[in-house]
Amino acid sequence: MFAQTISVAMVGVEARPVRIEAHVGKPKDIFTLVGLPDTAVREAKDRVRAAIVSTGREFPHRRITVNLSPADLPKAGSDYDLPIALGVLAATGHLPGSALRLVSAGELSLDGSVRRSRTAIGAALLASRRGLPCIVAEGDAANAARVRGARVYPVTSLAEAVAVVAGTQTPREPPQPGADVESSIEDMSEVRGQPLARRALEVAAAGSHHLLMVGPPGAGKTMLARRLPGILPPLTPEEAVEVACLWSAADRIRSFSASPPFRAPHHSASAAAVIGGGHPHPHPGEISLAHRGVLLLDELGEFPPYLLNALRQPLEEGQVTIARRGSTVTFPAAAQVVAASNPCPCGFRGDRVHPCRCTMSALDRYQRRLSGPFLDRFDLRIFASSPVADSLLGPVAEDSESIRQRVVAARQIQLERGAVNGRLTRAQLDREPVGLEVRSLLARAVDNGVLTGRGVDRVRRVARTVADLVGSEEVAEVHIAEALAFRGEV
Amino acid sequence: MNELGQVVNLEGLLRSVPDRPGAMWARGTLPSGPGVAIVGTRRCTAYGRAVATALGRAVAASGRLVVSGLARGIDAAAHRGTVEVAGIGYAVLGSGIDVLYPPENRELADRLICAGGGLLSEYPPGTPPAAFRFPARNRIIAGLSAAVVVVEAPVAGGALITARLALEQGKEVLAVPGDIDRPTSMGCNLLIRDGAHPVLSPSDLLETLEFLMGPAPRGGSGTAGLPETATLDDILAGSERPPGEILADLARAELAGKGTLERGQFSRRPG
Repeated sequence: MFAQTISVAMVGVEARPVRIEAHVGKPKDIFTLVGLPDTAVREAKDRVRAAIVSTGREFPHRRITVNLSPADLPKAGSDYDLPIALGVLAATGHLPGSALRLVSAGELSLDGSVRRSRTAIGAALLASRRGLPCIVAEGDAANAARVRGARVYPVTSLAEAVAVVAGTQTPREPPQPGADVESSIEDMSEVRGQPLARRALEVAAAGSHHLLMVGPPGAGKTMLARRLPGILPPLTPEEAVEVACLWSAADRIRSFSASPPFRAPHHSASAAAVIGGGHPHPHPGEISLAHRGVLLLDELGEFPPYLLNALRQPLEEGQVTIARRGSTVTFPAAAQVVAASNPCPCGFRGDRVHPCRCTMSALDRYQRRLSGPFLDRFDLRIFASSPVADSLLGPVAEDSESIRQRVVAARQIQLERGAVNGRLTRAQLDREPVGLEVRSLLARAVDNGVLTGRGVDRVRRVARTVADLVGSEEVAEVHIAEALAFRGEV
Repeated sequence: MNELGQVVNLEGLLRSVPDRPGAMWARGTLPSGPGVAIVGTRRCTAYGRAVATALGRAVAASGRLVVSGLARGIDAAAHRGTVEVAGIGYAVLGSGIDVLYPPENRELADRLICAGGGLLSEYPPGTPPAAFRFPARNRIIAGLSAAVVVVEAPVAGGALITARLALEQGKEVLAVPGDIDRPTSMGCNLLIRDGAHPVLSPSDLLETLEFLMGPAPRGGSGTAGLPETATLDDILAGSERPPGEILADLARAELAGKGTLERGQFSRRPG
């Protein structure tokens, strides 16, 4: 007897079909699993056996062979338990073989209940692409149901899955998805004072510019950075699916949300953890987990230089390709980076109260770390001063929602133009006419040594965003002048 | 306004010029009062060029008008200093207002106009540049100025003519001293021997001008009324205006040499 069904393997964020074939042969107590399974998949045999017994059926005393095909695609994890169990039941005649035209994914526990899986969203993507229904654990159903066009049947146990497949029970509706935007996000109204940083944050959000904040400890750099996701435009459903896929590829379950993700790796994190890596199957790193969201590099000066260099190419291309012996995968990595740094090792250089205690050589070393090609990617650079007491007691500032409305409007203009300003190339910048006043101001800045050639592009990108924030079609002199104030120095 | 500019009457400003033209062509703005002429030879040395730029920068940053030609050498160097600090400068041409000569100074002319200065000429549009017209132009440069600074000049040259015309018009003449074995400084040293005030440094020049012309008018940038040094946060928090506008003002002020934006602070440059 033979039966087959479909499950899914994730290659990067791409959902590839895995055909699960089950064959039941002569009476003999043998259960073999073939088709490049990893250890977790191989252990499926024991879970499937126990789960089937828990449904009240006897496990067939036959020679059972399960093949996961294509055989050359590496399969990992416990998510094939459910489709293997369904395949075995169909092959032994407990289920009509024709009923298995569906995609399923889920881990079985020994008592037959179905657990959450990291490929549930992939299964829904594949199912909607093929026009098939999709069976996932109840906990995953809300997420999977967000995939456009997916018919998702949540199940709590193998017995329920069997009943749904056999048609003896009408499938339940997936639970309603939660709130679109997490309301628990930290709000900008909690930030007192810091008008410069607030403005920089708004411009950064509106144009998706990388932002560098240099300032003494306690200036609120980290606090401000954490509030950036709250003023970014909410993710579109497609973006949210993409982000959720990436997170599940990293074995993390992110509840489905329109809030842009926020990641803040510690400076001691390894390159594999930040960029992505792992053996034999690469996992997405922090930069991919922050895709469409914010990657905070706190204490930038403490990150090893090789790590910052490794971040350069992904930041530029918005994706990262990780090659390992086992496989080569590409993960999206279009994160917006906020870097925060002390101005010097002791942290007080430029502070209005505390003197700096660094030696010249230590300062020199630190400054060298904070410059170079990596920082060329940061369009906005500001110095965050430590707030004075009366601003801390000042009136409540504008909340995130009001700021976000302006950001969304500015983004809309950019999308109609074709690209976010943070990613504009010089060629794209040059497509717009440059007024005489603007030209003269930029030329003056270059003549004065205030701006380098590369700096001109940065200033023009930021000025474009400043203009978009007020809905101005043309980049005027005042927009360039403001952008000049954000050119910063490290 | 087009390339041909507008026809203007500057007789009021040129009262000291005996044979002043009744009408002139102008592009950009008109001088609001007497300026400071910075003149010299076209074939200048690197020393002269550097000094002319430094003086142009200092005079313009102090809020005074810089007057010169648009020729190569000292003229262009002085105006380059002017536009560097977004100061106001006027170039008096020896050709038609639409004939910008030499061509490499066209951009400089644009920037003078953008920064709020302008071009002036007494010749009708289309008049080609010619050597014989330049001495005549020099009397206008002297006429528009309260003081004439000669940066570098050989003994025989247009700059010394300007100095002589200035003296005839009753204007003060200053000269930048130079090496005695350098032909391009001979004219200046000669002027000093004959009683011209020597220019010892840009700030020395500013002091002399203060004495000659009274205090310089202050430029109206957004930095007036600020303390010497203030953090951007304090400046932004202390105003009802949108932060973007204030930041733009501060950036402009920095480019105009009126202060520096550094480490989140704006420091006003004294003077």
